[in-house]
Amino acid sequence: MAVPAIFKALQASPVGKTITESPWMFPTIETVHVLAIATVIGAIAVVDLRLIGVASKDRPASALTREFLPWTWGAFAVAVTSGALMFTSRAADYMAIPAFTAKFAIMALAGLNMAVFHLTAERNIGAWDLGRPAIGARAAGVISLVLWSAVVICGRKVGFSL
Amino acid sequence: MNAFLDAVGNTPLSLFLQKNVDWLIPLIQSVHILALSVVFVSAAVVDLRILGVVGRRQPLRATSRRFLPWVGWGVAILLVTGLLLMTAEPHRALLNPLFQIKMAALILVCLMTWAIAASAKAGDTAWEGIERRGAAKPLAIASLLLWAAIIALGRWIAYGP
Repeated sequence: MAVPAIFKALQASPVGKTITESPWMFPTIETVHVLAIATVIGAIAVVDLRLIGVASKDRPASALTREFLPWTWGAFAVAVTSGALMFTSRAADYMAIPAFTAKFAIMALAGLNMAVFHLTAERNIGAWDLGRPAIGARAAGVISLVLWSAVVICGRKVGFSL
Repeated sequence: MNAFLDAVGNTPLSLFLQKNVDWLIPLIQSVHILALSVVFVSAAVVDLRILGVVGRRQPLRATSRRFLPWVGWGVAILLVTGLLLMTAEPHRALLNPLFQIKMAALILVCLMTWAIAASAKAGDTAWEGIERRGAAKPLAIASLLLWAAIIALGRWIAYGP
């Protein structure tokens, strides 16, 4: 697959070259990325397991979501920033890796799953906030866990494809 | 030590992992990352509860009963996947000083988590009372930093000598 020139330019940019040529920058950014995704995945899992009805059943789903969502988004912002920096250093190379593009397609699906949940089962959260979660909520939780696990697998596979 | 590592590297399991390095190793590493995510966030929730940053309306005993078992099970999965990864590349990990520091930090943080769990289970009011929480806070901060350091060291093993 031909890689558009913009990614080659990104890779050759001062930021890209600085990261590539430094012996410590890439591993440091990577470490920040791992800590950020660990927080994202762990926090999402807490909410998903509540939506499925497996854990934290003694707490309202709405309260748990309110408590964990800011941490999830904060860590996600760090993951995106560190990911963008790693991408800049090898932009053209990354774009040629199927696991890399698959990772973003799966993240888009995870976002869609979240949007569907907000527009459907969550609208009616009062009815299942403390009891057995609605079928839509349980489905959203399972789909989210599966998709985010796939995101991690693709991300790790990317590291083996460079 | 080297003879032992060579022997590990020649076991059928190690050879099988080496032969399927393209997909099996990333898969095992992914399970390792998913497990460390669960461990990190579960431990962090309890630590941040001790620090009074989150979940102040919940008693510490409830928070620790909800989250600490996941730390235990998560660490078990980490040990299994970690052992498999070491079996695939015995020379890379065991002789690496970063790996040795990581294991020392892991033992330390597990002991600390066990102390927090035992204390919370016993309903020790030391963890709930504001005036005595001063003793618990350094433990919570140390636990948070140690878990982050363990994850960081794990990543740096790949770049080690």
